[in-house]
Amino acid sequence: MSVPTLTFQSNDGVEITVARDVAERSVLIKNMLGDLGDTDEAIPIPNVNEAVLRKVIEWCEHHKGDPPNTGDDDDSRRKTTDIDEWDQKFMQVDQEMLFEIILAANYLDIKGLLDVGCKTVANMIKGKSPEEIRKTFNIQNDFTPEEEDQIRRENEWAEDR
Amino acid sequence: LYRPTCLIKIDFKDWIPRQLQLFLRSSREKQQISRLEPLPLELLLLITTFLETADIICLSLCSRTLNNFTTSLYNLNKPIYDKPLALSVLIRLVRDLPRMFCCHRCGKLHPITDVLHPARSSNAIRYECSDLKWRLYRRMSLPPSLIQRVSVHCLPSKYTFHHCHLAAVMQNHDRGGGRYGINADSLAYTEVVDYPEDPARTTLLSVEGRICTPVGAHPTPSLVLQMQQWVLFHDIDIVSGRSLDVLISRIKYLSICCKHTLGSAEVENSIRSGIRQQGFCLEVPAAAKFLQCSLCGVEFQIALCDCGKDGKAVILTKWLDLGVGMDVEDPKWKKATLSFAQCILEPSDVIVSSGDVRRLFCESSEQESDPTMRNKSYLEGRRYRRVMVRDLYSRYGLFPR
Repeated sequence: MSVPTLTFQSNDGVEITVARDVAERSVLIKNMLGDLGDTDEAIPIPNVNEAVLRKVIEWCEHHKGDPPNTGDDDDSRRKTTDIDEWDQKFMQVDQEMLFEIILAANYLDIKGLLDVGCKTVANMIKGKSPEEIRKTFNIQNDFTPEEEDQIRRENEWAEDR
Repeated sequence: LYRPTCLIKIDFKDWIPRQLQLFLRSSREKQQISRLEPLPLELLLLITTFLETADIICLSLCSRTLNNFTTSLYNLNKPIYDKPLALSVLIRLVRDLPRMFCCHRCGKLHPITDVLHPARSSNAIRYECSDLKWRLYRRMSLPPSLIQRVSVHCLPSKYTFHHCHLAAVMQNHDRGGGRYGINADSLAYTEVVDYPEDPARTTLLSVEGRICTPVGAHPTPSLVLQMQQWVLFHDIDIVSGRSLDVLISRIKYLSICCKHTLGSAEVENSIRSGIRQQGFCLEVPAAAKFLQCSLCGVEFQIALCDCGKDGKAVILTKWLDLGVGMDVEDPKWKKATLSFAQCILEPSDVIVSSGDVRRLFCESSEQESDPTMRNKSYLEGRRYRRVMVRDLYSRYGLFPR
């Protein structure tokens, strides 16, 4: 008996076939199938391009056996930024891809992948100074001198005046 | 879709300026803006759930956009009441502020140029910080320092090394050398004091600092101090007969560390037997090559030197690893600054050392590491009187150029 499959269509028009149990790691897809029933037509994923969609599917295939997330352990799960080895390698991508994966995981409602993406970004921030964070994420320091004065006033605990 | 449960709700008014800012900036600047800032707020908030408060404070100082969204996440005044949090933030901030120094004792930023050489004190009384202004606190409990480790004269030494010196040197090292304030080389100091009373003697202290990085998988740099203390007896017959007891009686209170002096039984015996067997021969150490205090870890070596017509000297050379300096609670710093009162009940022995701290000091620089011949040259013919500056208390001091 063949494995039931679904077809996704990325926003650049590429169709990708994926096993249904893998696709159902996405709560969005799972709910949609529950509401609309089975379909043979390609499901458009308008916010996600082919490269990102393939990465998301790769993650879902690797984690298809994981227990479904109930949301009960959210707080304890978030206290740690530990990422398992496979996920760490999976997330070794350029920043553009990393943020696209996070946005896709958010859109498709894949909590596990969203957590891994956000933890990866958090680990890139941890322990860094503001200037180091700016360099890491190409952030422009756009504070005006008046705003910098205001911040200094708000943070007056920091200086011995 | 994904709502973090433990976060503060975001008002609509918080959202509008952020979107406006991003729009205005993207149209104003041709270059690509950050991928982090344009993330939807719920995702930025999710990321912050994986961050410590110190990380969020640093994130908030990156840009106007990030500042606007993070200000509702933490209490700006919290670090006033939370010194570990304040230090965690300030240690990062000083990496961006080369003119500033994070004081681990008071948990504040000071200009790094206010951390003076350990033998100089500032006249500008501005701060409440006990490390920078320790003399103001002499009637209160003194902050930990190396004052006991450098004691050799009949007068207190001017060299008062506090944690601020260690932290400032290491912060400058962390920033690639540092253009402002003190560094390891500038910690050097030589001080000489004459003592005309019988038996007439001259005492010398020299201190040098080097940042040493041990070889290993995760090498952590640390500041190692080399201190040499001389007691030069001008009576050349001091070693004969009962005079040896006089010599021993004058050096027995010379501190090696918080626990041991040259009068400690095993050390005194080594000096006595060294004098009897080899005499004042610089080439042969008086005791085993290197010794160590089992409590504070200071490594030391004792040598005896015949300075000809200038007299005979007992030389104590010490090597002390002060650690990375990023925390007043760092075990290396705490061990190095143990006071006599703190360790009076602690068991401690003088043990034979492998000389690892000395090796670390010597291997960290291609310059000559042994100060003995240089110090000897200052004492010969009282040359220190010509090359050093005398202060009001008749201490001769020499600072690095």
